[in-house]
Amino acid sequence: MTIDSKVSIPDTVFLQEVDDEMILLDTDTQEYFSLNEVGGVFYQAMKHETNFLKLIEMLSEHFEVEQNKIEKDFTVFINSLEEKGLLKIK
Amino acid sequence: MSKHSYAYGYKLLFSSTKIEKTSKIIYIDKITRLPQDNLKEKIHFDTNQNRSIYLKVLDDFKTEKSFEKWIFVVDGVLSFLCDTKLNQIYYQKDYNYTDSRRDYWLMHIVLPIFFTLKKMYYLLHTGSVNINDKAVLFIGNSHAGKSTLTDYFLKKKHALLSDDKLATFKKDDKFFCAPSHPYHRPYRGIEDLGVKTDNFDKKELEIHKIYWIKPVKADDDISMKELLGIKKFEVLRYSTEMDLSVDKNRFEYIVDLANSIKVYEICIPHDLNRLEEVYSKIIQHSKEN
Repeated sequence: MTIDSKVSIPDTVFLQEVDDEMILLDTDTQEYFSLNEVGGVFYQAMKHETNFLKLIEMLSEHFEVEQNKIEKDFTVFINSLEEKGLLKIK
Repeated sequence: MSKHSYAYGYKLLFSSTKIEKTSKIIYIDKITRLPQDNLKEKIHFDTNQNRSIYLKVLDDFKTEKSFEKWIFVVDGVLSFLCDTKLNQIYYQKDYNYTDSRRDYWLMHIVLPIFFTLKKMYYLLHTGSVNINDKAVLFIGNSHAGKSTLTDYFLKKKHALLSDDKLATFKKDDKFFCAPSHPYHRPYRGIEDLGVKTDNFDKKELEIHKIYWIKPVKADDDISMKELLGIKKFEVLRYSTEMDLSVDKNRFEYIVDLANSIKVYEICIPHDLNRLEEVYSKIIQHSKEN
C-alpha cells in the first residue's frame, strides 16, 4: 500500500443500511457482511474518493483524528475487504 | 417429426391483474406443441422432495431476455416452460407425472419463481395468517414449527394467507402481501399440497409483524425479543431462499422490508400442549405497535 494506491468497489458489491448497521452484499458469492459505524463511514468515503492519501485526509478530518492513526486503521480495514473480494486495490 | 424442433406438451394459462392482486390459473387439456427448447444453461437447485430439480435458462440471467423464457425441470416428473412475457406456462409430462405432482410443483416452486422473475411480487418462505385484518408472518428453519403454528391459528379461526410461500409487494410506502393458495400442511407429505381450507383470505393485507421461530426445550419460557441490523437482515434473507441469487434489486427490497417491518425472535417450547400459551402471547404482542 502506497500513498498513490487507488481503491475501488467492485460492481457486484452493494451497501445498504439496516437499523444503523451497514450491510455489504457480494452478489457474485452471495456472501454478506456487516460493518460497524466507523466501517460504514470508511466504505461510504470510498464511493466518492479512490485515492488512498485523499481518503486518509478526508477521514482524518471527518473523525477529527490524527492522520497516522486513521491510516493504520484504514489500512487494516481495506486489506481485510480486499481479502474477501469486497474491494480492489491498485 | 424431429425431436429437436417441437415437443408435445400441455398448456396452462396464467392470468393476473395488478389491481386485484389475484391470480387465476386456467388449465387447458388439449395437447399443444412446446416451442423449441433452446435454453441450454442449467442452474441446479438443492434436491427437493427427493427430486433433482433445475432451471434451464438462456444465459444465467445475465440479460433481460433470459428472464422472459425459462424451463423448470423436475427430473422424471415434468418440465415447465415458462413465458413471463405472455403469462403462459407449458408443461411436458415425464414418466413419473401425475396431476397432483404438477399442482404441487406449480404452486410451490414454479409460480414463486415466475412472480420473482417477472418482478411482480417478492416471495417470502413463511407461514402467514390474518390477525385483526393485518398479515402476521412466521419464519423459521425447516421443521422449526411454521406449519404447526400456522395450523393452530387456523384452528382459532384466523384466515390463512399462506402455509409456505407468500407474495409480498410495496405500495404507497407500505408492505402488503397477496394470499397464495388455500392449502396448509400440518403434516408434511412428499409432493403434497396438503389440506384445503375454506378459511382463506382473498384480499391483500398490510404486513404488520414478522416472527422468527426459535424452537426451545419443552419447559423453557416463551420469550420474545426484537431483532435488529444484520440479525434482522439474515432472517429476511433466509426466508427468500428459492435458490435464486440475490441481485441488487432483491437486496434493496429485503433492506427496505427490514427497515419498515419489525421482526421478533420468539422462543417456542417443543410441546404441542403449550401452543395455546404461544398463541395468546402472539395475539397480545401483535396488538402492540
